[in-house]
Amino acid sequence: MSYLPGIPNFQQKTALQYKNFRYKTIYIFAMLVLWLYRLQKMGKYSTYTSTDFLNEETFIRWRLKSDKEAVKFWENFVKKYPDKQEEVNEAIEIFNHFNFAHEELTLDEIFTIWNNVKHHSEKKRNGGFAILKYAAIFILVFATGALSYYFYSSSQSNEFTIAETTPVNFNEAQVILPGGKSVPLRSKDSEIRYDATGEKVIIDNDTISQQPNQVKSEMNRVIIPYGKSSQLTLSDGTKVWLNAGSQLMYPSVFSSKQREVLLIGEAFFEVVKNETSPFIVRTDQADVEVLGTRFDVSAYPDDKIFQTVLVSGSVSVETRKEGMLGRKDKKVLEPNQMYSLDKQSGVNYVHRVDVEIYTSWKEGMFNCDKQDLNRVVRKLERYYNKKIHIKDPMLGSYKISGKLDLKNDISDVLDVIQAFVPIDWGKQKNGDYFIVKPN
Amino acid sequence: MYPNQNLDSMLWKDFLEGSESALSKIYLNNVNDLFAFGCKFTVDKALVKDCIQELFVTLIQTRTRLSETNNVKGYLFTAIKRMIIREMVRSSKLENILESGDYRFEIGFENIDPVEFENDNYSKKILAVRSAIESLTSRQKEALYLKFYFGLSHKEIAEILHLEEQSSRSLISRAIQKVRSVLKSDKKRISKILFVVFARHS
Repeated sequence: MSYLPGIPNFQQKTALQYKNFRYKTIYIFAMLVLWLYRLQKMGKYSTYTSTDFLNEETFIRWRLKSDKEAVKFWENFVKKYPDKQEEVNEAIEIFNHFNFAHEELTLDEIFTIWNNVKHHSEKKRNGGFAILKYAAIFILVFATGALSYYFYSSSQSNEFTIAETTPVNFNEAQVILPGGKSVPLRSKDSEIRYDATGEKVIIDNDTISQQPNQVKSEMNRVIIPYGKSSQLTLSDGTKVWLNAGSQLMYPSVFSSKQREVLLIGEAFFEVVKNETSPFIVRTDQADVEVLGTRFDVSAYPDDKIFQTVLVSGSVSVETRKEGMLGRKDKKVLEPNQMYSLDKQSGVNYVHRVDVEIYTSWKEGMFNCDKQDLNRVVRKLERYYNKKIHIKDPMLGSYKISGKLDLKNDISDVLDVIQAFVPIDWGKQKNGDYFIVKPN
Repeated sequence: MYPNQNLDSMLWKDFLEGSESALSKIYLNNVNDLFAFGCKFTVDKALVKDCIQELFVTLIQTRTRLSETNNVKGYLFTAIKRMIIREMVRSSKLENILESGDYRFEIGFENIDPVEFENDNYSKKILAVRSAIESLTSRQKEALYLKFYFGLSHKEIAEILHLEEQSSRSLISRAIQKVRSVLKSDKKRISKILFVVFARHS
């Protein structure tokens, strides 16, 4: 029997023993009330089996981590009622066995379906809402539920919007300005520069002026197909090198609170420091947040791995595995570290790398250090916009180290590779290349 | 309640009043879930994408005839399921399988971690539970998927399954009991038979 805290020891004086007894009675009574209260509160749960727990809606929301209240309640519950531990554990075990495979759409597919929806619904209405076509704003950027939720909850005014255009040809290098105007990029390495107000855009020496009222709310979009690359200067002075087969979406001027861009593919960023306005690169797999630094992000939809490499400064990477499964994960990188995320399993790790290898593409060089021939070939395909077929799957696992000069012709590069690993290569009638075992 | 439910309801109201950008937000909030759910009925992903497109075109065209709802996801799920199954029926000449529940629902699991798979007891157990889950009826699998993956309520699940709330509740309980019995039998092999009998009769 323990005493209530703060009650002095009365036992020395008999006169007070009676009082002591009264305290004891009060204590016992209080405990009884508390016990009854708990029992009542636990009430329906006292006889619960694992099946009953799994039928409970808030219990599932706890496991899905989709509801803060539910998480708090059940974590408390487990602590308070250890005698229910076994049933709860069993329920969790059963729940965990339901490890469903989950099909997902890519950003491009999500965009394409919505474009089709707009097209079909307008056609059937005989253009009665033609004005809407231009007014209609489509938030392409937030491909997933979790992502869009983030924006609605953070600030209503901070919506990323992009004017809808006629279906985009992804094989043509171009800038799509707010309002839907598309400007083609003709050179192989184009340069795009925004002035500080975002009203003037200089594209390869041509200056384009934008309407100030269009500047604010809507997004610009650069599309760089395979075989080309581009360098951008955004309104805050941040420099972005876009690799082949990539897209970047960004506002003409950034909001004062944060600077956000959306990336599909690979880009190298040299972010101008601004302590009050973090720079965030959003991709379909993860968000990379920085204040001012130099780093590379590789988020090709058809790659199995998402990567970001930090050259200087500091960045944090937060995965975007739907909040529903509660698999969000945040890592902070130091210079010369690389973060890799396996898209399928969600497993990520950070390790030291030679950053040169991952960033030299912006100077037209391609460094590799013990990389699979498979991955090297994927990069060459993107850079030259040519198909290269590896005929024997075993060849794909050859490790390659060295430096390839991508300013050379693709056949020169394949010759260099041939000098290092035992392969033969050739060109098919349709223009594709192939790699085979040497005879 | 699913995450974003209140937001979706608000957006739905804006959409009914004529805002198409509200619908585009609803689309973004739900498109991946619709696709994932749809792919459980058919392996034809193109069909699922077409149905999603058709669904949103229909919503825009019939906007004035739609009514308010505070369960947007449930509404969309019911609609996409109906559309996919209708398309499948059209091509295979089956009838009325929507009400009878006589359709395919492939639950599909994530791959087991190869490191854990090396542990023989562990993988045996997983495979046993998985085969028990696979042997459930399509309706049971669908209900458990909606419950355990999307966290939908019994009422919401009942609507999608064309059932009374009470029936969907007992459908789920029976399914869980069956999976539980496999787990239990793993723990206490002696009482294995007893539990199988128990599972059959409950």
